[in-house]
Amino acid sequence: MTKLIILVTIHIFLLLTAGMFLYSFILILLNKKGTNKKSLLRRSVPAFLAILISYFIGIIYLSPYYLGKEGFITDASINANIPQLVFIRELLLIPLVILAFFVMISVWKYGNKVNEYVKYKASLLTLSLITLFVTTILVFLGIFIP
Amino acid sequence: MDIYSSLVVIHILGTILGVGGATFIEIFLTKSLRDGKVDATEGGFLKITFIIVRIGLVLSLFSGIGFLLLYKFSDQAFRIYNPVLWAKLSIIAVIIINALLLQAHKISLYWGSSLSLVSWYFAFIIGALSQGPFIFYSYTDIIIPYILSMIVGAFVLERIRIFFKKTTQ
Repeated sequence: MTKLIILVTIHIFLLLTAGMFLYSFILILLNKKGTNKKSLLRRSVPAFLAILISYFIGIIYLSPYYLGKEGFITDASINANIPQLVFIRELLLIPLVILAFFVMISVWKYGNKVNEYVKYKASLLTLSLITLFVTTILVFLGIFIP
Repeated sequence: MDIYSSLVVIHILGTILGVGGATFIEIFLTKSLRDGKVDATEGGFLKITFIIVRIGLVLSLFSGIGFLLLYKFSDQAFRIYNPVLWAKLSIIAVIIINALLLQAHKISLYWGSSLSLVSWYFAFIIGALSQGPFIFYSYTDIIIPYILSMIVGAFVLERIRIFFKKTTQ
């Protein structure tokens, strides 16, 4: 049980850390004075790594559900909804890793053109906002479901 | 020091930095905008204060999520469903979104400064009193006074700015 608690805690805090880096990334992108590739990379790389590690920890701690073990919340009415929510959360984790990877690779390859092309900046901003939104949902789902 | 006490210390520290920072941003802004523009020195002070507020936000968020996890693991899940907590989380969400809107210049200073200051003070008051009388309040009991305070706050802050601008001229 203690091992599971540690895994869940690390999983949630890693997602939260990724959220912080993504938030900082968005704040820098929104800066009217412009930005540089280095500052964007310094935020997108840790965000991706945090999400990736969190995903693998998620696999480890979610696996007991598929083996039929009980969750942390003992309330029967809440437990009844767990399998569906766990399934949704696991599904959301996969596109999140892909989104974070795409943001990072995009900055890596075209980060120095971010101030020149408005459309590229806007699409990067949209992508990172979606990634942040999904990360936030996953943090809260992680708290409400085991 | 146990986990709960550590979280309380971090959460209080985050709130102090957030509330203090938001207050000083208002003071610096009022002082800076007396002549209608923010010069390099004033801009430097504002930049540092923004960083302090963000550090406060990060500390508050991490410790806040820590509290939720602690409640979950110690079989106190009922605390997570408390409407007061949800009201506080909504106010924190307003602080986060407001910072993005201010950075993108998509919100005026009139609303932006009030949203920031009133939200930080409300989050602080709810946090400080959540173990006392606030525990029985509903979501709307907190959110309605919050919205009203924000409207009044925007008006008052604007009047203060105009007052100091007039006294300088």
